[in-house]
Amino acid sequence: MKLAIALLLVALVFTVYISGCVQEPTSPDTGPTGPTTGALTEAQAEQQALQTLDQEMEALEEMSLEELENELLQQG
Amino acid sequence: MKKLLTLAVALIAVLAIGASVMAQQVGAQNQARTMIKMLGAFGNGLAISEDDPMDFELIRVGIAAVKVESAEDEKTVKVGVLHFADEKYRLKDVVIGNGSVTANIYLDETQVGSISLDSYPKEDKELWAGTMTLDGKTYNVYLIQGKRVVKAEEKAEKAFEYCRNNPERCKAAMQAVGSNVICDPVTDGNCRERIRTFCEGNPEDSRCKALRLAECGLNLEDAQCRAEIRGVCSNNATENACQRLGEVYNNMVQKRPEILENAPQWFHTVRERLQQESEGQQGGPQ
Repeated sequence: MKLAIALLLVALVFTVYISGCVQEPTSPDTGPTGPTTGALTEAQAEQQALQTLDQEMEALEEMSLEELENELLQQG
Repeated sequence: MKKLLTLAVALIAVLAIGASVMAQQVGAQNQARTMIKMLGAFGNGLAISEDDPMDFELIRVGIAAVKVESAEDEKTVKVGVLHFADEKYRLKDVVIGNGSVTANIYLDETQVGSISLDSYPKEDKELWAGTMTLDGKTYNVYLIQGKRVVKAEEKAEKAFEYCRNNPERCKAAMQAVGSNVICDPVTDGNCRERIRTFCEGNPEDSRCKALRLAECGLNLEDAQCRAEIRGVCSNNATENACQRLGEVYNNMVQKRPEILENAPQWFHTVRERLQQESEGQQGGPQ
């Protein structure tokens, strides 16, 4: 019986611990990769937008100076 | 006693699994969704010192309006990034106009310059030219608009926007391509959502393409839309959207007439038509 109560207490402590893990963050600034909750602040939205833009720019093909010269400098 | 033990162990297992599932769900709900709503200048190029042509740097510019959605909120923010030499700058106070962009350049939180670019067509590409001041130096800037793969959800969003704002024209655009309408946006309030879902799954469907092009014809400040319209104009320069796009690029011609040398044929055709119309209006009845 005592063992069962002890196990139930462990279960209770475990539950409290896990619920702490899923608690919503209170800070509005969750960083560029952090999750957002509720209404977005301007800073959060900007961070998320910048992160997306950075990813898009990484996908941009690198161009050599020679390629750029061909494309641009002939414009005079 | 044994039953109680089994019960306790089962309880722990259920709680652990439940908490784990809950954590995943909350995480998914809280993650913001982002989408490129409008693209400005986006590509690689050169910044050449106004004082010394041998003083130049490779640059990379990205300017866009990005829609950020959380479970409860939605915002569209304009952001920009400039890579100059080995330094990365942020662009703030971004303005994306009809074929033009302007922004202030920041390093950390300090303004260190500004940039202003205009776009123009060259063969099947779009180029940007303009000026930039950075750390007290002035540069002439030339960029080649980069190719970006537009995601299916972004394409569907354009169809959705068009049908939300113009239900009757949305229906007409679908009928014009000779197929059945996906649904009737005039009588069915849920139709635009259904169009979004359908077009996300079938981005190359002729009706979805027609709706996207129709929306793009009204949003020429978006470089992706200009690219879509250029594709149409190279095949048929008489489309109304080509005239509007021609007017956008004409602003740049007034600043730099030499760009006409490498302009695509459709642009010359549109310019001739614009000139004829202008002369017709001037010579018309008083």
